[in-house]
Amino acid sequence: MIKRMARVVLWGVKDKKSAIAGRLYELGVFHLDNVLPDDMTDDSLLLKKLRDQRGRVLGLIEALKWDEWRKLTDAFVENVRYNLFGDLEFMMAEIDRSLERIQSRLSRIDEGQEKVQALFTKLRKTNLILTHARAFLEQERFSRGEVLIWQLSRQAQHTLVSKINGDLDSLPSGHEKPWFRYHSFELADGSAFLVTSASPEIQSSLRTSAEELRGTLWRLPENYEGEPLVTAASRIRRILRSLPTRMRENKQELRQLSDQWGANLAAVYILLDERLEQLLMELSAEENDDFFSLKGWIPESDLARTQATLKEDFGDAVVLRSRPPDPAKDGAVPTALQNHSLFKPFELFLKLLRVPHYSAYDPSFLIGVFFPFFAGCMVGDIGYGVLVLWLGWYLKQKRSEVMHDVGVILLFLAFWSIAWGGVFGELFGDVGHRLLHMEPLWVDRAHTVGPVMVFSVALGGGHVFLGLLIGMIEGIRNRHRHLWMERLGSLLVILAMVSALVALRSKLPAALFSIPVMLLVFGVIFLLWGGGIGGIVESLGTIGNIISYIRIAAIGLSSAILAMVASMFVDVIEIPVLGFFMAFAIHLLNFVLAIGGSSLHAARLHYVEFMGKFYESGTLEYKPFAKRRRLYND
Amino acid sequence: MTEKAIVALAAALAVAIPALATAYAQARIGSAGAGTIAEKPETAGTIIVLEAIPETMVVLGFVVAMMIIGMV
Repeated sequence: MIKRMARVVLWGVKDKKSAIAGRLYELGVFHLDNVLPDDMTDDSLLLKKLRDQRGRVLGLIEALKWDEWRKLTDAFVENVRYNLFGDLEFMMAEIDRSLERIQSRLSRIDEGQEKVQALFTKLRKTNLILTHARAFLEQERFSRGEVLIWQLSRQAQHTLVSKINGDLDSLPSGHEKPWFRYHSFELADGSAFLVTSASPEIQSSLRTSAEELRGTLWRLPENYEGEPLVTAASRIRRILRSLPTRMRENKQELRQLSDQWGANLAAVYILLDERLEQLLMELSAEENDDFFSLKGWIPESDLARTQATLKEDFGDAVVLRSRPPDPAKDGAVPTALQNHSLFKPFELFLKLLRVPHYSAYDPSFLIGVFFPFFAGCMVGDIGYGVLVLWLGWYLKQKRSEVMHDVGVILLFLAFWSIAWGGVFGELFGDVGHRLLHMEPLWVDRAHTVGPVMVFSVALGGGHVFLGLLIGMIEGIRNRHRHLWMERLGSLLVILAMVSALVALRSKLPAALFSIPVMLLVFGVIFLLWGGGIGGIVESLGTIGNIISYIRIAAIGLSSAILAMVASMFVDVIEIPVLGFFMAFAIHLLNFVLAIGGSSLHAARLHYVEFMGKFYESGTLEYKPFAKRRRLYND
Repeated sequence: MTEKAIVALAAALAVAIPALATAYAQARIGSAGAGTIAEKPETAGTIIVLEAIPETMVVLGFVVAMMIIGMV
């Protein structure tokens, strides 16, 4: 059902504009005509500032890694409002000061963490090099020579070592012959190192040769320079062990900051967002010296309550005038859907389309009746139905509105799947028949397809007929002569076909054929009158639409046969465990296909075959200025 | 036996050929539709409808197959 709307104009005293806008915002029923001033007034500058501040608050919430929106309660948000919100300028200044304080603490923690992280990365590499060289360094700890670490390619290391050894060999043997010892290693990243220890006499030659071979003398990091490598290594190891604790402390501090401020910032964000909405409403008002006016829409059902509340709060300072919509004057009227809570989840199907036109028919209720019926007929298995029931129940408990709606739709689907399962005698395919001797109440669709196909077509005929009937009624109601005539023509043609079939099947006297012929003649006349040649083509398309419902039988058949095949694996495979596993896997696949396929095809039957006959989309959805914190309720 | 095999082949072709045609059509519609939805998410409903339209070919093929093997 589509809510009836009233066109309203609100007149108020200019001094109370903000308070009245706030009250309307709380009432949450006023759909405002979107008229915002183009010029940048002081108020619109304020709007920009509010937007910027809201952005900063959100940025800070993300920087604090706070993500517990669902734990926020209305009471908490209202408490923050009570403590903070008053005069807008004062409030914004207060928020700015708090943001700066939090930002400064956050920056300090971030900088500290970055420094520790950088130091950790640097010292870890140093420690890795010193660990590789450790044994050699310990060995050379008390030698007189200088120990150096060179970063050199493998090839250059060979050349250097050969050259130094060659130089030493060419020296005459004497009492104190110079010495040269080395150790080489390679890191996982491919960088090769050579640790050298040589007597002072050949140090100069060693340095020159290494530099000629493009070697780089590796040095300890800043703060450690000049320290012996062995003692530096043990100090670096000690510091490295302490760094994770410092990193944990920084994270802990960030968490504390997040716990301390996250929820408050989130509440401020919500309140700023709401204030912004109110300001937008105020800016949309037309003004003169003393008064302002707001134009928009309110559902008729909420009109009296709104008028009474405004009267009670503001007395004669506000006047709300209303009248029924006049499409010629008002243009598009916003559409708001209103369905019984049981069928409200089926409005989800219309969210994939543009909202229905204000004067059109809302098919949510009929979708709620037929969608689960068709999809359940395709699934048609008690076992799968029970699984769908569990899945639907699980999703229904979810806090997300979409998940909840999907859950309710699945519960409907489960009911019809179980019912049709009884009709076809299926429980996980033929498992019910094998173990419990279940028999179909009507027909075993895996072996007798014909009756199910005929039933599907009959179902399609009824569904399409209903669609055409609604289209015709809507055409008459909205005075679209071509539309209702075309729909009536199609209806008569379908009736003619059905009558002819009945007459043929019952082998009635030829005289009775005059009824279908008469219906056909009238139908064609209406079709030509309403839609011309296009009407005839449309009518032929309607026959295709009805045959399309055979998919209910076809998909049901494939699902039933796949379930049977799954169970057959237990008989065919001699290893029972493997057989059960295969059966389980195929049942699982079939279950997914049954849910996905049946839902998709049942939805398609509604979108194309059924709603195509009457659905008229609109352009404007009813979006009142209202609080958007349904997720944050206690 | 030969006659049965020919009937079975005819039934298989009655489903297979429309299935190939539908797959081709849906692939073309699907790729174009994905691009459209990326730019205009509000067109999702229309695209699903367009994507579903060629399926009727397979359904009709299925009916013909059932008629060929004499189940209707």
